[in-house]
Amino acid sequence: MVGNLLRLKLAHLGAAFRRSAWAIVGTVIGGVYALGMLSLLVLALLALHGRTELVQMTAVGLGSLIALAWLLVPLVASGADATLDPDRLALYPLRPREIMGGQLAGSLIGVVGPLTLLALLAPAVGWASGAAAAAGVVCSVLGYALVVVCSRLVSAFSMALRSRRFVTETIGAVMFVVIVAVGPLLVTLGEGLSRGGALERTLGVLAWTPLGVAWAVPGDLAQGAPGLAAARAVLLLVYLAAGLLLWDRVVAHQISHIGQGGGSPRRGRASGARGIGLLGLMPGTPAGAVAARTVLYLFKDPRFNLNLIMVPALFLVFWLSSQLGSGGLSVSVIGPVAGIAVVWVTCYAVSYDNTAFSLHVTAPLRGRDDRWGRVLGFGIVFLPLVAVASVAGMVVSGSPGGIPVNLGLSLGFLLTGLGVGAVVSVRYAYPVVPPGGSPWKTQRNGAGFANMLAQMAGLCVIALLAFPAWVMGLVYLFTGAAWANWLTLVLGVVGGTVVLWLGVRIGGAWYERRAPELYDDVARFT
Amino acid sequence: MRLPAAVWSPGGMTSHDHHPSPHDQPPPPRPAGTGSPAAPSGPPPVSGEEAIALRGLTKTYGDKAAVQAVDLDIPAGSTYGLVGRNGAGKTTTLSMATGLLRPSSGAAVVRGIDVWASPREAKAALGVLPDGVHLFDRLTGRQLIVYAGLLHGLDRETAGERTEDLLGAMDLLEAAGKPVTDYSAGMRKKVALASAMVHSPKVLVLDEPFESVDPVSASNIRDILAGFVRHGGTVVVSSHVMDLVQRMCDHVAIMDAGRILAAGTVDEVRGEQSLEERFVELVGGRVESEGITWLGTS
Repeated sequence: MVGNLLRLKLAHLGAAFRRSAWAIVGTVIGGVYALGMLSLLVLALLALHGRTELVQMTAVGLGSLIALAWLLVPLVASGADATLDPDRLALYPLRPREIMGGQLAGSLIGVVGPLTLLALLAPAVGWASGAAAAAGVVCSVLGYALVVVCSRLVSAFSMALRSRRFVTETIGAVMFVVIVAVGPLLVTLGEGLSRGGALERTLGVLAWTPLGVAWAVPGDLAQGAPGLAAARAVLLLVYLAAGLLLWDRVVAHQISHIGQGGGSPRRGRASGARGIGLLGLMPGTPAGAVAARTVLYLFKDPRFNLNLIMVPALFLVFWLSSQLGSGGLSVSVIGPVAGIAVVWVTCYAVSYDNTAFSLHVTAPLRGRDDRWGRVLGFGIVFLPLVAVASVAGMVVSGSPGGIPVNLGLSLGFLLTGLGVGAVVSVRYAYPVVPPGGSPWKTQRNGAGFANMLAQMAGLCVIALLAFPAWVMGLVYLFTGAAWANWLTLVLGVVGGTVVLWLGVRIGGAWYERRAPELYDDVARFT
Repeated sequence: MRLPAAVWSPGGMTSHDHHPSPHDQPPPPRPAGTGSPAAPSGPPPVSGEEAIALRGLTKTYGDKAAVQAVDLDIPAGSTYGLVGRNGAGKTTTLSMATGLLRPSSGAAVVRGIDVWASPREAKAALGVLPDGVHLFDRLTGRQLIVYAGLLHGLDRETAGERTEDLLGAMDLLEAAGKPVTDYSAGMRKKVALASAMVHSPKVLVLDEPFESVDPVSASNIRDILAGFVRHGGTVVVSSHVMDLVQRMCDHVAIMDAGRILAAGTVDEVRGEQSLEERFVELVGGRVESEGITWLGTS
């Protein structure tokens, strides 16, 4: 039966490759890259050959990092590989053991699994003694099994958690900030660890946890401590046995409780008996309604609100990197960067609506009402956000005198971007995540490259059209004249508003002409 | 082959002489079918009185025609069923008739207004429930209906009042403050239906309106629709549930492979048979078999 499951997984992989040439290209490029990294690792270990303590530290550090990655990925990308998930197999008369066996062995079918195993086996070349190398191979395989078991457990628990939308979205938001800030965080962490033997102490602790125990065993043998090695080996087996036992229970539960975790609706949170929220505050016109809906979506749809979280996240990144001293980015650029980064999403406005856009198309809605409504909605949220980011950035970086020029650039980019978005979102449909989908899911990458080109072109257009602001900004940079400072603000706002107005006019006219075609385009990405 | 024999008689034009349960009427003498006499040379011109008139409506993708030269008159005040198998072209036809999908050729006229020449005027008269589309599901049910009303140009008070009425009629009051994401499939259908009705359209075009709706809600919705027709409205439903169409519609058109095979009042189309039998006879595709021999024997 395990054999059958493996064939199923293999067939699935083959089908993915047959469907898209890009999948093959991507896999090959990724594989070559990973193999390159792997050979570098092997070379490094060969250089360390015989220096047992360093090899052990490398093995534990590397192994723990890989294990950590395997644990974190299912938290972020649920169902990244759901081929053999228990709840899909529940209809068939399988025993939990068979599913577990299928998943364990099946993890080696694909790209990531074999590469992981290879990386975990790599330290074996660093051991001087044959016994240590042999122990390294055995422990790496056992350790790999433990990693897969733990990863599956995390995946099962996160799926249980995910049945609550709020929890999912919160986890998603937190992970997003972490990922955006990961570079500076790692640097900070690295600096902390490199001080006063903190790294050794951390690795020493890791070598007793499920994350690191397997990789430490051969090093103990090589250093002539068979007792320590035996203790860790026993611990490894205990972890593995406990993990398997727990996993067995979890799988048994999963295949007998299908669909019970899913979509537990929150009850009784009826927000005010007759409340219609923002729809009651904005003007009661078609454009006002579209604006209110846009604002609601910015806050309530995770695909949009990640975008809002990006501003504080970027602020954090810039601030951290400026704290590191070594000439990192200054916080003062946060305003213009946030302006462009945030406004990009307006190009996706209709693509994100997906087929819900049919409500607009079947209504006697004027193109300019649709366009104005969306621009207003985005503007209401983005303008204060970017303005605050710009001012705060200048204050934090200690140059409040430059607030006008910075604000001019930030608002210039933002307003120009809103205008460009008003045109682009009518003209192009992007293969974005459909409503309700996880913002983490990568889309079918058939159009990936074309999409990226369109994005680059869009960004260039925004940057070009915002020229009044940055030309005057440059003048200020070179002359430092007060008039140039204030004139940048004026030009940014006025120039941006002109582009915005034009964008709404052109976008509105296009909407009138091709709303049904646009609907047809976005409907393709369901 | 087109069979417009019985279609063009503009019977049942006024709202009151027409009841949405055609069973008590005796079947008419002349059933519409493949054997009926030579059809008139072409469809009559659009009078402007029809709720929806389609003329030569065609949609081709490449060299494949999804809908081929469909002529259809849907009389005002009727409850019109459009039946066909999956992929017969029902959704494509209705999309072209409601301004969602531009036809390759042909015309769709709603109450005398050409949908593709003056889309805004036509759309004001139409209420549309597309099948299988996303809703703006981060809004609450109440917000969604009000939103639809505002898009149609209602003022906020009117939109608000009608929303409460619709929520009550659809039995959605309890869930009205919850986001539509948390709704069941049937509740989504109902809230989408309410959004299609809030601007009080003259013609309702509903694609598979009863799919995944529970029987009690379906009865309520049928009552609402019957009331709408009694007050002069027209309802067009697409479905592949023949019983339902036979029960609630007074007119029906059978569609297959992008063409209309038969159209007219339900009794004209079905003749002595049930609608389902007639449908299977026209569309074909039944597999003659003794059943699967090993099934149920072990």
